[in-house]
Amino acid sequence: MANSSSPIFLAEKRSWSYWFADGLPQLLIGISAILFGFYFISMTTPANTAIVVLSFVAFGAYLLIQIRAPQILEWLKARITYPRTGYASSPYFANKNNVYCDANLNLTPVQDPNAPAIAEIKSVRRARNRRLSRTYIFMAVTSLGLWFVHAPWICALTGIVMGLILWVGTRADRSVSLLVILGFPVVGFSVGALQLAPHARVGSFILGVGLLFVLDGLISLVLYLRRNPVASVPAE
Amino acid sequence: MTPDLQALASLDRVIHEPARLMIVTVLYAVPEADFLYLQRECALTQGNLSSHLAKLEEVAYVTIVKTFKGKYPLTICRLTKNGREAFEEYVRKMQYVAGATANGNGAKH
Repeated sequence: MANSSSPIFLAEKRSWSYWFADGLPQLLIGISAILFGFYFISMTTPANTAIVVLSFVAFGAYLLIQIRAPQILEWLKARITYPRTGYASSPYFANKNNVYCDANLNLTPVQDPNAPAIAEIKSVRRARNRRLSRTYIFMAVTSLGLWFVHAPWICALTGIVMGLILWVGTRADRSVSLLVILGFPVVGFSVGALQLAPHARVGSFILGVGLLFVLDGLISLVLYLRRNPVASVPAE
Repeated sequence: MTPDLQALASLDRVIHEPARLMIVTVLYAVPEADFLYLQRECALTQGNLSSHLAKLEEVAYVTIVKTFKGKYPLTICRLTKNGREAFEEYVRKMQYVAGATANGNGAKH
């Protein structure tokens, strides 16, 4: 039943895209990458005390985002997305537990009794998770080049390869925009052109990628807000 | 009546109605969704969606919970175990009928 054109498959795919439509996940990814990139740069290059203190604050904020990302997203979506276009549970939790986030940002895991039984839906989700995991692993392995190869061209090459990996890994879901995919080589070329020390290159690359995601998130958010003004009458 | 036609006659009429079929399909793919999301996905009016959800709730295929996310009131709809099983049964029957028709068995007298 659930082949790529079946209504069940399409409904699942639309709920997945819906999660990224408002740009908030991209913004959060971008902000955490910027924080980590900043921390990385200040830890690997000589800096004054104020910068070191700031970098620790940035690292703390980065950790907080990593730990509380679902809650932060739910909190933002409850104020921006749900009043405009409604709520659909996150596909992020589709294979795990259903998670309810209350007003105090506490997540209550609810065992989902409705886990899809039609095998194709399960396999679609499994395939997507496998694809995304592979993409993350390949990107992590590619980033090692920045660390170990001490030549300016490695930044451009890493940017191009990462862009390609991201494109191949996410083209089926279209969860990453073309701006980010094409932006990776641009970030690579830019970091290469700056002729930085190897350690600073890694941090700058992460920071550049973070800026890319923030830009993508902001554009998506603005377009989303313009397309979807707040509904005047609350639903039901 | 041939077995294929009997399968058609025993289709679940609650799910067979197009608007309700849309609602159940969306809720099958998404663990839970609110009224506004369903309204947008199924392109139904508020009244229409309300009445169809009420019918689905009446036969215990859907649970409807009114809650809050932040300050925003949500009417969250979920497919129940019964609803899920009924939808799967419906899909199986439709597949059977479609398969039988494709194989040329459905039109035999």
